[in-house]
Formats: sequence, C-alpha cells, structure tokens
Amino acid sequence: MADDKLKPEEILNVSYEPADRDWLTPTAVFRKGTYSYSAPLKHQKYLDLPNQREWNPADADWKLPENWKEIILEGMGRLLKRHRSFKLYLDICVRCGACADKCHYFLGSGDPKNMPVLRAELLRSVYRRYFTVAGKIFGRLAGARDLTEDVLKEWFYYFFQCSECRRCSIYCPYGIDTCEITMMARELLNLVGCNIQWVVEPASNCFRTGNHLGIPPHAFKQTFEFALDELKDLTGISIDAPINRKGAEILFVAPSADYFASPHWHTFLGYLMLFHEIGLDYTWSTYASEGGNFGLFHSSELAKRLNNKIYAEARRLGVKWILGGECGHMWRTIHQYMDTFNGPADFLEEPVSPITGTKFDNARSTKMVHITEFTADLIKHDKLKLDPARNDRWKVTFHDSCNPARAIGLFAEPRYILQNVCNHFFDMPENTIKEKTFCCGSGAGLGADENMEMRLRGGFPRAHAVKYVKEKHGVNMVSCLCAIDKASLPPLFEYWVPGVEVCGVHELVGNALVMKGETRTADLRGEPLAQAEEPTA
Amino acid sequence: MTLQELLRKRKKAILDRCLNLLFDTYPHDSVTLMKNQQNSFANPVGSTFRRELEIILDGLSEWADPGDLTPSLDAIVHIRAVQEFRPSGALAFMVHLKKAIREELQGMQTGPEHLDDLARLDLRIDELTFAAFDLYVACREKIAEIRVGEARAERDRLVRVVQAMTRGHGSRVTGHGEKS
Ligand code: SF4
Ligand code: SF4
Ligand code: SF4
Repeated sequence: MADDKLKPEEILNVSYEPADRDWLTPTAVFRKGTYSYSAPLKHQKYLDLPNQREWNPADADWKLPENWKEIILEGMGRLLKRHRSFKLYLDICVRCGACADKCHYFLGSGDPKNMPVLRAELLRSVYRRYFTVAGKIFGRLAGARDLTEDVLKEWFYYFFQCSECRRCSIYCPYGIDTCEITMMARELLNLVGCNIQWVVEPASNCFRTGNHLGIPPHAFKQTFEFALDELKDLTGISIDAPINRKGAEILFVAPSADYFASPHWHTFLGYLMLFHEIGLDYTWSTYASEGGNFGLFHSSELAKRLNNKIYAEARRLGVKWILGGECGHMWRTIHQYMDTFNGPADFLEEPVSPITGTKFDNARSTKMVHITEFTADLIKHDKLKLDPARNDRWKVTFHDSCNPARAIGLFAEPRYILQNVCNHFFDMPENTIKEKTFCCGSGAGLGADENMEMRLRGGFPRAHAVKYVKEKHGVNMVSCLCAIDKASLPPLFEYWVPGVEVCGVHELVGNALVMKGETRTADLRGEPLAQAEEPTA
Repeated sequence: MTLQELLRKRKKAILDRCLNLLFDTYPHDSVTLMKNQQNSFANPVGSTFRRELEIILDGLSEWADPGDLTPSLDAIVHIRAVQEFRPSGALAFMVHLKKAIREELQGMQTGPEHLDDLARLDLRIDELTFAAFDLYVACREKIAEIRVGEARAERDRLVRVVQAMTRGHGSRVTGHGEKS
C-alpha cells in the first residue's frame, strides 16, 4: 500500500475497484516501497555517467537534458543495429500470451504491466512508432505510441521492476528473452541519466576498489584474518589463505558479499575449509575481489569494463585457470558474455581438477569453473570425508538461483552436493525449480530496502513454494547459490514463511567436512554439532 | 432450513461470488489468469485466495471459533498488504464477504426465524474484519521491521569493513607474491 498522505477529502473516497486504463496510456505511480532511489551524484561522477544531477523519481521534474528524446531514439537506433536479437525480439512477438503469467512480479502484484509481454510492449510501442512503417502511419492503431516523458517514466518504473531473471523466456515459443529487452531499456534510460542507486553505487565501488562493497585491499586481507581466527576456534586447525600469490595454479573469485555479509560469511568459511582440506594450490586476489558484476544491470559497456579484471588478474598472477564462487549474475556474465567481452583467454589452460584429474570440458572456452562443479566432482571421486549427520538440524531445500540455473543450466551439481552433505533434502514442486525457478524478487539491482514492497510481491511465488515444503516436510533451510539471494531471501521468508533460514551450499559442505586433525563441537554458525555415531566416509 | 444449512447449500455460489468480487479489485487484464489457473504454484495469489476464503466460509457456516479462522485471514491479508491498495481497499474483501452472503441468500427462503442467526453471522464477520485490521497492521509493522533489519545488517557489514580497515596485519594470510 502507499504511505503517501491522504488529504481529508480523499479519506472517505474508498475505492475497491482498480483504475482500468488501456495499456497504451502510461501509468507509473511512484509510491514509496515500490521503486528504487536514484543514483547518488558522487557515484554518477565516478562512472562518468551522462546527465549527472541529483534527482528523485517521485518528483515531477526529472531534470532530463533538453534533447532527451533525440538521445533515446538515436540510442535505440544504435542498439537495434548492434544487437540483432533486440530487433528480432521487437519484431517477432505474436502476443500469444504464453509468457504472460510467468513473471513473479506479475504473479505477486496482479499488475498487467508486469506481464513480460506487456513489459516489452512498453518499449516495443515506441519502436513501432519511430522505426516501423505501420507504426509511423497508423500510430495507436498499430500499437505505436509517442515517446513522451510519461512513457519514459513508465519505462523506468517497469524496467526496474524486472529482475532480468529470464523465467519468461523459457516459455516463449519464439525464444524471446524479455530480460534482454529490459537490458536494452536500461541502457537507453542510462543515456539520459536515469539509473538507480543499488546498481550504480556497487558498480562504481567495483570500479574504484575492485569490489561492490568498496573494500580496499588491506581490509580485504584483514577480513581473511577474522575468518581464519574463527576457523581456528571452530576446528582447531590453522588454515592458510593465499592472496595475490603469483604462480598459483588456480585463481579463486567470489562475490564480495561472501566475505562481509551474513549469512554469506559461513559459505566463505566453507570455501576456506574445503580448499585447505584438499590442499588446493590456489590464490585469492584483491584486484579481482569481486565475482559479481553490477555493470550487467547497467550497460554492456560497464559490464565489460568490470569483468575485465578477472582475466587481467589471471594473466598477472600467471594461474592456469579460474574457479568461481557462489554467485548468481556473476555466472551469467562469465558463461554468456566474458568470452566475447574480454576473451579469448588463450593464455589460460583448459581447467583440470588437480585432485581428481577431471577435465572440465564445459569450461574449455572461458577457463572458468563453477565451484559446485568442482566440489561435486570431488565428492563423486570420493575425495572428501563427509559426515552429513552434522547438518541434521536442517531440513534442506534448494532454491535454484535464476542465473546459475537458466544461464548455465546448473541443476544437478548443487543437488548432488546437498544430498551428500545432509540427510534431509527435499525439492520444491517441479514448476518452481531448475529452469522454471522463481527469482527471489530482488535480482538485477532491485534489492534496495526502499523497494521492499515490490520485492515482497515479486518474491511471493518463491516463498509460496518454500512454504509448501515447509508444511509438507518441515523444511527449515533454503540453500542457494547467489549472493543476492543470500541477502534477500531472509527478509522475504521473514515476511512470508517465518522460521526458514538461508545458507550457501558450501556452508553445508563446511559443516559436513571431516577435516584431518580437527576438533569440532560447533557448526559454522556456532551451534552445537550433531555428531553421527559412525561418520560416513 | 436453518441458516447454517442454507449457507452450506449455497457455499459454492457464495464462494464464487466472493472470489469474483475479490478478483475484481485487480486490473481487468490480470483477472482471467488469476481466476482460471488451477495450479497453486503457477497462480499463488489466486490459489491462496480461493483456498483460504473457502476455509473462512466453511468456518462461518459451522460457527467455528473466529480464532481458528485467523490463519486463513492472515494469508490473504499478507498478500493484500504488499499490493497496490490503500488499507481500506486491502481489507475490502471482508465487506465483500458480507455482501456475497447477503446477495446469495436473497433468493432463498430466509424468514424471521433466521434473523437471530443472521445478526450473529454479521457479528462474526465484523469480528473477523477487526481481526483482519489487526493482522494488516501487523503486516505493515513487519515490513517496517524488515527494513530496519536490513539497515542494521548494512550497518553491521560496514562495521566489519571498518574493523578490517583499522586492525593490524595478521599472520596466516600470505600475501603479495609470497609462496604459501
Ligand atoms: S522479471 Fe524475469 S520473468 Fe519477469 S519479465 Fe523480467 S525476465 Fe521475465
Ligand atoms: S511468449 Fe513470446 S511470442 Fe508469446 S507473447 Fe510472450 S514474448 Fe510474445
Ligand atoms: S538475485 Fe538470485 S534469484 Fe534473483 S535474479 Fe539473481 S540469481 Fe536469480
């Protein structure tokens, strides 16, 4: 609901009916709780963004440049030439409606402009008007509309209400990916300086310090000290964590939230334990200290700039290949764009697990392996001593984070790991997992607290499925592979399914891992460890 | 026939009427999908409304303890409290419930013998409406609490960063080209 103040004469004006308008009429209403704040000037400056200014989406005056319309239309022309997919997606939609009820924002809000087909139509209508003959001649009759400030505002409202999760795309018989339309729309909005804090600030931090949180190298190093101290207390083992070590075999890159945020931290501990236990010859990097890439939610140019540091650092350190941590959109960037952005990485070798000898053919081109592929392979080859009973206080389900699921098809590996490190695993219903997974509702930069109502709407379909397994199997832990999920699912569940917690896959690996010489009485959250009578090897 | 029997007999019709009124609070283009999709996971809002309203109606016709109906009420209110409604609009479904029952009973043979029970039923619905109001406020408070919680988590994170920036250098981290 809105918390905008009502005038006395409006108070008794109670309406139970929606204001129905046809979709061509722009209708964005910026109510608190349903939109994100604009990017702070400081960060616009760092990134040298167009039309730098302080502004507020809820104000009438957006302080657009005088020729904003030309800028947008010219930009659109450029994008149409550059991305054939964009033009194709705008041209071929037959409005069959197969995607209409597949978006979690639509399902949670009931707002028709959150139907992927209508979301795309907001932009398509402008395309028709200025770039197609029918639209130029027949205007509204051909579903075309003029580009006005209200239309631009509506774009901002609805394209920052798409988490770029791509769920809709798998249902489209033509393969239209509305996420890519959102990406293009955001690029266009950027040209006139309309972007949000939650995207621009992390991107700008990353540009300056190498990570979204703006952590300088010495603080990065110190946080490892905290982690290693904690692990010493928990396991009795002194663990080593190499940073910026030249000549290491593998460079490990994780999202920066892993080493500062909660519950990510426990996953971070899990990585450190695992790498120690198998004696991995690897290194962390202070320069490539961020796997995530908020540039992706901004423009392909910025995504490329931020992504560049991973290969650059791999080259500088002289590693053979790269291992990547638990992150969502990081994997989208790596799997789908890195090769063309900054590749080919021909200075790296085709990844081979030094422990099992497994060749990761799938990563032949990017040279970057996902940690669940790596760990699943270790388990498959019986290289880890695991005691799943140590996770017995958890009844676990797995939330397929959209990007690892739909961008790289990572379904089996995380489940295989979870089934080996805990005794109670239950999947959610089929139409809510794997390639059909529901987004957490906070992806693509929408996780700001001021946007909470929208996040709670968008996250409802996910929470609804979690509630089902909670009621059916007593599930109390949702494991996932995405740093944004780890931050956004706990508040989501607090509202919709209290009593369900969130963890990374490698937190549970860390708990179950029986380490040589360990003395353990607590799990990674400091809770007493459930011990099995006979640890299974 | 007692009022209870009448309600039981007309339950399906009352439920449909009530659901239609509830769905009609959403934009026209969305209603078809919300009404027709039967799979609960493909239509979480519509299916929750249908399931929980049915429980509420059953409870009303059986004179169930209003306390037993609050979980169902809460499930509906949770959804309405985050959607694009003013508080009055969010809770309108309780008014609709009364309206649906009245309209549905109109064509039936209700007479003076039902008056007491009808008054009692009205009172029940009013009680539930007040309960819905409390639940709504609790939802809004929860949202505010969650936002505060996020701000606190953000602060904790920054404190950790600052601690890391100001602490001395440790020993078990190998750095800058050293071999571990
Ligand atoms: S949020 Fe996901 S499902 Fe919805 S329109 Fe965007 S990409 Fe499609
Ligand atoms: S499923 Fe594809 S073709 Fe059908 S309406 Fe959606 S985008 Fe258009
Ligand atoms: S935040 Fe996680 S769940 Fe949401 S879009 Fe990203 S990967 Fe998907």
